[in-house]
Amino acid sequence: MSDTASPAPIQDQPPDLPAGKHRFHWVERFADGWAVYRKNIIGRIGLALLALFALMAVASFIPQLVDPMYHPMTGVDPYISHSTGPSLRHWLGTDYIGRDIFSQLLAGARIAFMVGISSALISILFGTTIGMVAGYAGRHTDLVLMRLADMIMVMPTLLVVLILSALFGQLNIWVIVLMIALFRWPGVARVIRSQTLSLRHRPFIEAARVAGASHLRILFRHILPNVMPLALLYMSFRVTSAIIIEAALAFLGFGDPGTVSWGMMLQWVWKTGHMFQASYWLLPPGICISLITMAFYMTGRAMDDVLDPRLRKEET
Amino acid sequence: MTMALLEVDNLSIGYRTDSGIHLAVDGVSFRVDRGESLGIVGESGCGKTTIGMALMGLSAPNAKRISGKIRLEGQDLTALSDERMRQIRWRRISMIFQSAMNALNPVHRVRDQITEAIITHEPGLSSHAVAHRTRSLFELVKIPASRLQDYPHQFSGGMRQRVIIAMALACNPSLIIADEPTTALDVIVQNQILSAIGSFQKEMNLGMVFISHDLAVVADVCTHIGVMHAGRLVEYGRQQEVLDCPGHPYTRLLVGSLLTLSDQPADLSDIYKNRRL
Amino acid sequence: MGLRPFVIRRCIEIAVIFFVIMTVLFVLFRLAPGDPVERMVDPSMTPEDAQLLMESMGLDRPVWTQYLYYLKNMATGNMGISFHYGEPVIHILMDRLPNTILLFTSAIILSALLGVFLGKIAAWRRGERTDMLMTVGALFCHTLFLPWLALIMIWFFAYHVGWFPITGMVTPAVWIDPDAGMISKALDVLHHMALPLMTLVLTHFGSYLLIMRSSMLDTLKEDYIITARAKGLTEKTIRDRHAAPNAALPVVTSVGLSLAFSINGGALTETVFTWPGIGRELVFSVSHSDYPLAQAAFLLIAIVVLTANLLVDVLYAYLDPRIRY
Repeated sequence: MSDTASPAPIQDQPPDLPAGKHRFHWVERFADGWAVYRKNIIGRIGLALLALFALMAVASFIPQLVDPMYHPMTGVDPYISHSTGPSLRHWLGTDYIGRDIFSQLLAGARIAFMVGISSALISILFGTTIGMVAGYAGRHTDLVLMRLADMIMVMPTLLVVLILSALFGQLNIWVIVLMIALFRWPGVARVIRSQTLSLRHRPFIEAARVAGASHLRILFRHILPNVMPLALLYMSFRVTSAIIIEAALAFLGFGDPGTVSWGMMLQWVWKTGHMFQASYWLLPPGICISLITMAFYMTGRAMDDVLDPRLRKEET
Repeated sequence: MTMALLEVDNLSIGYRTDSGIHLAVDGVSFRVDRGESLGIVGESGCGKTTIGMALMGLSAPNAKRISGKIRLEGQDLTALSDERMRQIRWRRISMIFQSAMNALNPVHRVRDQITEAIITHEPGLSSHAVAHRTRSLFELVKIPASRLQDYPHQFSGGMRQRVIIAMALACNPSLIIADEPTTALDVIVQNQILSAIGSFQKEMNLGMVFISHDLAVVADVCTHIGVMHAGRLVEYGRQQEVLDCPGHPYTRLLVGSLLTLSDQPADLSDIYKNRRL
Repeated sequence: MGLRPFVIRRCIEIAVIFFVIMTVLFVLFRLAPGDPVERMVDPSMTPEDAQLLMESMGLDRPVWTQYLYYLKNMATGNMGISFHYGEPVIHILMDRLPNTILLFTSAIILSALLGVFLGKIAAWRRGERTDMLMTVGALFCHTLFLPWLALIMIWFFAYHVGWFPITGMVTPAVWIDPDAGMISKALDVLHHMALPLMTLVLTHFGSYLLIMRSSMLDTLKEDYIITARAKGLTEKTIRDRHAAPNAALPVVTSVGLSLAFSINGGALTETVFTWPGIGRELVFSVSHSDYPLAQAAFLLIAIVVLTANLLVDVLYAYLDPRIRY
């Protein structure tokens, strides 16, 4: 199969480029990719949904500014102290102590993005570095790292974080983010490793080595740009799993009690016995979790189609 | 004149592409009688595999028969329904696939892949008879019966081709299409396979269409030779005629490129310059 | 036959992994803030009992000796006494284990079969409405949040329509009744299992369907499919006997890879449906600070996951003759 990724430039000064071309090859590729992505309907829907949720996340700061009773965690409605249905005053109703559900939903969007993206970034960082090192160094390093990855992949992340919270007490949201990231990097690492393995013997790497480039330089200057698209692609899948794990943790009661996430909302509905009566409370958080998962998945799939030119022709 | 086994009459096939229909086979006509074998030679992309597939009714989904007829023992194959064609496939016209291909299913034993063909087309046969025939097919291609229960990946390339030959002969077809059957094999094995094919063809009085890019191979085995170039049959005749007096410049190129141990390499530059694409 | 050495090698690998997990857990339990002794011995025990327990677990000895005691105890099944139940942890877990295995195994097998079957059809009818429906349906189900789906299931099927029981695995009345035979008991369990099983299968079959579909599309491009067509086989035979068996192999691999994810779902399902399994015990014990139970439950789940991995690998080797021979 021909190499669709062109080799990174070895010289430091780029040659004189024809007018209209950007200095960095990858910017051009990004623009091309975007044009293809736009045509993909799944990608468009996914992106639209993500935009909606982003809007929600940004808007989450507004309700309490309007009136302190709308604060998701501490808001107390002077007239309502139990769960009520949707009304003009509270668009989605109130929870069991009279807090506004809609503002909780918005706050949940903010948490979801925060958890999802930071966790994904950390695990991508980890996974890419380890994958590259494993693929490049080969032999013993590779073996050890991949065995480690295997072991971690076998572990059910949720249950591990559960045990850790048993030992270390209630976990802070950032600790949760870190924990999740620490258990999700193996998937990325494997893919990056095989990509690195196939790149390792390419002529341009050999040339760089001959020219005296240090290993570190080769890794970051030459291999990284070529594996990055793959890493970014996998990021979308990491985001969804991070969001889901955090939601499950919160659902079980092990989330950060200071944060209002959708999982936490579900926990409240469940544990306070409102499950059967308060559908306005039960349905929105679950729908949001599913939709945001779908949105990231669709975006990821569309990006996959963009990055894999073989697929591009076939799916039409 | 007796009825030909296979008659191809002004066949034209095109592929639907984004930029219109691309003609792959352009007005090709030939005939093959029982006991004869026609070697179709040409470079990649000249349309020979398209013809092979069309004869089996296995054209790609974006291929379109623009004109022409294919007659097998007088019956017009191009007018048949899919279901009728399916019944004819393998029973009367079968195929020996490219040796480079992954033609055998990796998860089934080779014995099952052969019996499957027999059972599909001759459902009335007793299992005993089917097993007997399968064994004799293996004897025919000189593979020990103990290998019958093995999986394809356990065979070497040459043996796999022999399995494929055995499979092609399973239902006693009248016509066999061999598409580059020896291309990926080394010369000694190639020779064995070619002589095996040749001998079966004579013994069973089969008609054969032998597709190859290698004129040397075709010259070895076939009674007739057809040369294809850019979709057209530019040369067609008996083997000796074509080799001794090639008419078309392209044929001359091909013949000229046949190296023998005693020859000086021919000067091809003239012919090449005059060649019309 | 290459199968035996393969299995043996995998067993050893699993044993090593488990060993590492055990050790890490040991270290963590001692690193965590608080008194490790309090974690193993219920502070509300009588001093004599506490002393006995401490000795049997070597908690009064230096760390290295403790480790050896730990290993020995693991091997003999002495994992301490549960704070909450007051019984040896091992008894509680062994009692719960079959329930988890029943639910978990049925869920995996059903969702894999469903995914393979539907994915095969979706690929065969690629681009048509059936395919679109199935793909969208699979995607939709795959993104459903499991605990939420579980709650919805209970709300609708148990509460609203009343077809299924809301919680638990058994109806006490049925099991206490001396006249009730095996069949009625089994049916009762199945009745209780229906909702959790449905929840698990719905959330898992989607990814298998999508993988089977794409695997099938790749397989259909293979040369041996052309051969099958050339042999004059019917479309159905080609799809089911030639394409599907090859296409199903990546699904088996995928099942293996997603086992960790599946057991997460299993634990969540057990918790919401109060199915008495080890997943639920883990969650329960963690929220009640029942350390001995939590540690043991976790290790037992690790064993289950590792064993399941092994079984999947063996299944794959069995299905793909290229590995076996």
